[in-house]
Amino acid sequence: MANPKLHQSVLSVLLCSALVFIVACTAERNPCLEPKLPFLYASCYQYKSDTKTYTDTALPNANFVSMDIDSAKRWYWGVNTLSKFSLVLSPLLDTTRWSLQADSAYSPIDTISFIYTRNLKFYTNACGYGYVYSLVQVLTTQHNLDSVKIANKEVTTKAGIENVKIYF
Amino acid sequence: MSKFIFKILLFSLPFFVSAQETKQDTLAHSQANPTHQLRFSIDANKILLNTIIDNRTSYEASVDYYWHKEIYLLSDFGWGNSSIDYSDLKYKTNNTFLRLGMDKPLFVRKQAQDWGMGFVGFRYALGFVHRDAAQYTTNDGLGGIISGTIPAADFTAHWMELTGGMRIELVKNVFAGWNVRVKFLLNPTSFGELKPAYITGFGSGDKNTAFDYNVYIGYALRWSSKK
Repeated sequence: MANPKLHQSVLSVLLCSALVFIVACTAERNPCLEPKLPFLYASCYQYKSDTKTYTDTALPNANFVSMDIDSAKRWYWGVNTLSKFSLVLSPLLDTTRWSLQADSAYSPIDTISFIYTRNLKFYTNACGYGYVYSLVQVLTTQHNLDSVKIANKEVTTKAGIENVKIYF
Repeated sequence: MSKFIFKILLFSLPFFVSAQETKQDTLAHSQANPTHQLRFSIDANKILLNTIIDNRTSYEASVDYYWHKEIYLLSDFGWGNSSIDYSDLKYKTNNTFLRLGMDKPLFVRKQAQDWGMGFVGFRYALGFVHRDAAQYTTNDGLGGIISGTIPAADFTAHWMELTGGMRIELVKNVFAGWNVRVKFLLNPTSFGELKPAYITGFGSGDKNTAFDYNVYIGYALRWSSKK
């Protein structure tokens, strides 16, 4: 071990061995950094007879409430001037119903039924599994609103994709 | 990924060129000293990690043979297992692997007995991975909790490695040294959706590129060619 070159070599081995502990620290589960809850994005439109086009329409004082999900976390209750809503679907059911009241002061209430297929999706080992959905059909009452159309049937965790158009 | 591999190869080129510049001296030296060396090594780093990390074990060993023209042919092999035991995901994997490749020393040997070296090299590796059935639970945070099972599966993993490191002969025939490795998974889609969290010899199955580090201790057998 008197050889200085050998000393340097042994030192480099020891220094690299210290990296072992850094590597060991990475054995824990990584945090899940991506969203796992898919949203159905619904936008509201109104027919303008003067221009004969459908324009983006903010609802004055809307209630948009789920009838099949046992949680009020994603409800909209008395929201002002909102035209785009992010809704959730139940992974336990093939149909999720939402009731929509455009103006809570006087509007009649409509029920929108989203019928879909559920697809199991693996994200990463850090995030595990979740469900995404594919819309099959949307049914609605017509007390206040005119119709509902599917714009994009895939309900995933991608943001900003309009899935459903609601016409008044 | 191919661009990244190309850049790494380009970056590695000077080392190979540097080694080639010494070819004449080294070749003459080797021809004058026709000694064969067969070295057996184990990865002490992995054994140490096995005592620190409780959800996986990994064992790696290496056999290299000094060919002529300052080239070492080698084979690495190993086996191991891992377990994922999260609240929403549980499964176990095990695998074996085999690497084949070569190392090229970076510097000229000054003496015939000098078997220490710094080197660069490459490997092709093949891993046979088994994943047990996986138990999962999804929870959307809104009362939608669902559990299920993903069937067991077997995979074959191919990857390529670029490596560098050094070996020193501590006492006669006994070596110590280290390797650093960058690895490129060649068939990441073959794992399907549920990628194995850990593949012994490669690393995280979630990623297409992995870095690794080995600390080897080894013993060498030497003999001379009969003329």
